[in-house]
Amino acid sequence: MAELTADTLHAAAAHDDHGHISEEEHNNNMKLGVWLYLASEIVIFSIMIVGYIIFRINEKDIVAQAHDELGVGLVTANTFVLLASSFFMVMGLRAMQQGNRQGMLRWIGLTALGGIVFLGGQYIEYSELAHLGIALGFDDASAWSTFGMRFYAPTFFHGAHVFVGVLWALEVMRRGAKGRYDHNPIGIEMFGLYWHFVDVVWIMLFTLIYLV
Amino acid sequence: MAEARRHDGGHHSNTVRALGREITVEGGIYTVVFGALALLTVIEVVSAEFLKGAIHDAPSAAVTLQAIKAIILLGIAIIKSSLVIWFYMHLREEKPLIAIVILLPLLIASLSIMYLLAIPPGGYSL
Amino acid sequence: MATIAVPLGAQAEQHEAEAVRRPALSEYLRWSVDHKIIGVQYGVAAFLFFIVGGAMAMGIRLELWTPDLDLMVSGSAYNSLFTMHGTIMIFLFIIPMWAAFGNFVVPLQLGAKDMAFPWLNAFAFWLIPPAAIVILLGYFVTPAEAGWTSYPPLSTLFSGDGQTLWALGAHLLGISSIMGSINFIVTILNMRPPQMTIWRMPLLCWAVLATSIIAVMATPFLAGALTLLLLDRVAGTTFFDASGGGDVLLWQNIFWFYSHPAVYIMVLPGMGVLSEVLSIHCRKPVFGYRMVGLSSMGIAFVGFTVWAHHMFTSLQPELRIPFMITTMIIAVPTGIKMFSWLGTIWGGKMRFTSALLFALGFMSMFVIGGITGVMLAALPFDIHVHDTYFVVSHFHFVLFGGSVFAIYAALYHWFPKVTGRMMNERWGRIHFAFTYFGFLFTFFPMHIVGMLGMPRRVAVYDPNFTDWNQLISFSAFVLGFSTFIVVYNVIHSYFRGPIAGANPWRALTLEWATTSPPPVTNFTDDPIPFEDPYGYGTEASAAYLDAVDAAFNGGRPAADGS
Repeated sequence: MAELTADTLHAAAAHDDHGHISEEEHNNNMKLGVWLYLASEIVIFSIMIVGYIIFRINEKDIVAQAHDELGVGLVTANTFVLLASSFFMVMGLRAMQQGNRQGMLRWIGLTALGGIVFLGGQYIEYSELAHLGIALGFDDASAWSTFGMRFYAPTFFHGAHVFVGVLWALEVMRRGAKGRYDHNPIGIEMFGLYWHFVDVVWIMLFTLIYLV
Repeated sequence: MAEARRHDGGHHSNTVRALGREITVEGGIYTVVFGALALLTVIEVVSAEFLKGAIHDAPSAAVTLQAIKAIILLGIAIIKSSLVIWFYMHLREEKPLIAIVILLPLLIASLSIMYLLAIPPGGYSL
Repeated sequence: MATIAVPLGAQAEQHEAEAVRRPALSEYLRWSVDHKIIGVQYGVAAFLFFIVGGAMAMGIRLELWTPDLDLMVSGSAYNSLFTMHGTIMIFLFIIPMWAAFGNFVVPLQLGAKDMAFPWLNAFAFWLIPPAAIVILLGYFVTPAEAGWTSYPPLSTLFSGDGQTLWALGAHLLGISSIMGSINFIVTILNMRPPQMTIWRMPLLCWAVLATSIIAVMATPFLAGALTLLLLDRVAGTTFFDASGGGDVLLWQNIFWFYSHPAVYIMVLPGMGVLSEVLSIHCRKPVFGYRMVGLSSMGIAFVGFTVWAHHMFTSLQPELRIPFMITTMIIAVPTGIKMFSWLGTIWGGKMRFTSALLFALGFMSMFVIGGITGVMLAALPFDIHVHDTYFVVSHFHFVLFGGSVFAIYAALYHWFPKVTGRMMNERWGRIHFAFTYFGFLFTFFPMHIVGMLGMPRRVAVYDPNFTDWNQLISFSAFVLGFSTFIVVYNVIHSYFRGPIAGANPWRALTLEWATTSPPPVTNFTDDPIPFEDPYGYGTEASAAYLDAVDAAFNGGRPAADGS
């Protein structure tokens, strides 16, 4: 037998305030959204990386020669910088979660600085490579010819992500300085997810391209 | 809400209240993880250089050594990535859903990478 | 029996006042973060592209009226025509059209107030017009002519600057699609009210969830491939050029990593619509609800393992059989859906509304498309009909007979909710008759000319095929004409249609438990979903529906709600 009770309805409806979702739901949405975005980034990077791996398997000599010419010193230093910036990032988030705005600004500032140093290192490396004659385009005469595009595509794509990350870090600092994250540090956490992801991509690129 | 508070000036407590929940904000583990990442990177670079020399010295075993090198280095890289994802990206505090979100594209991407590596011109000349 | 909660408010009068008010037309022309406005924006934009792409199809059929090259100035002009036809229909019509229904209906069905990221939602839509402009600008340089699949070297060495613009535009559309899909996933997973458990979700939501997962995981493949293609075209790299150490097949593989799953992006929401429409208009519960929901997921995942069947003729011979097997496996979850629909209408109290007619049209046409799909999966047969009109026929049965019929069914079904007015049923039936028979006689004969060996993508054909082609072209013009009937019907009904009321179809899903069109916040009170979204035919559901009617239009049955 069906009996209608409006009471059950209103009791259930009273569970949240109308019109707006709670801050926690909002945070969960934002985080899930960023994770899904990163999921799609994984796939793009995998395409860039697979082009390099195929080349690596087939043209061992050219890759070995490139490794010898380039050395591993600069890129290792660069890797440390990026790993450190990831550490600064997570410490920045921690500082904000503890309510320490100045600490957060310092840590995020260091993060951005790390990104800038990394990009500088990459610029130096690219100059060296250009000096060696490794170019992006195809050139019949150069033995490097098809190495360049396989190398630059993933590393430059990653560098572009670092660049975007630096801009994002500066924006986070600008907003953070105004107290935007004092109550809810989700904005920092979202940027953190992105920055750590860029770091993870670099961990894989560093191993696959420079070491293996 | 967000009663993120600093306790007794200067010293920051590890436990804060945010959004009405107790959140433990650990600092120590982040530093430990960073130390591990740095150490693993050093191990990685040293072993790569060492194995490169070994491959150079023993061309007859080059294929085997190269495979060992690739496995070791990729293993270390995966450990490092997992550390970052697990601790810095706070996967350990998230719902299983987030793990699925990140594992699914990895599965799909690795399937397609494996496939592309298995077919010519990548695979047959191995 | 159990108590039933009804989504009523005490303010029935207020609802009635609101029911008359629709958003001003000018609101649709500017930036808005309301998912209902964005849904209509998607829908109207996509339909405009449908007309543009349809006009191109008419051009193709006009050219093929005679076996010679007469209408076009050159083969290249014909190439660019079918390239644009395919691109527009897939990227600018079907995919955005499902975003339209998804946007409008999914938050309402869930009982949510909006999408999870309203701003992102609007941004994803507003990427589409610039992308379309970029793609169409190709006509002012040298248009793309490598087909919608853009295989190199056609797309690298033999196609003009229009191809670069094409790739840029497709890139933008891919970004838009990823953003829209992230939004859907977060909305469906996180924005459900507590009572809307995952197993109470309407099947359209299941389908949109599966579709969005595919889009997020697969579209980046396209983005990656297009990036490499752009580098090849602009920066002088040779990723896809064998003479420069590249690999032509790399494009085909990566492209189909995306584009085969994209086939399911285009048809899965249609399958969700079918379950809704058949159940509601036949007054019966969906047969095997859980299996239908899960089969959407099954299709999504198996869909990632079948791509190379598009490459049977360029694939290593020993890999053909594995892909033949996976391709046939994917027919199983599709078959589950087909039998579920049959089980749903079996013994139902069918009301032959236009929406139901189109849904039945989908069933009859899609089953043909599905069977020819299995035929094409069979390697020996595929080699024989490779690149003939049999293939053209197959994918039009799936994409027109499937997706477009479902889009029409969805249009007739949800138009009352969107506008508050009923569509004209008489014109709806006329539209259905023209579409159904125009479609059947356009595409069914293509099977035959295909098996006789007529190749696709060429403007000149053997004169032996002239009779068949004239039949096809004539039917295609009938099909093209049918579009104007629905355009007339929509415009006429928007202004003159009878007032729909909240729940003209007496449906149990939540989008009908609010006014038509819904207020800005969708629901004045938090809606309570009925215990079973398709539990028609029970006393409890009748009581629930009566309560909805009482709450929103004083119990008056609207339109011809028999």
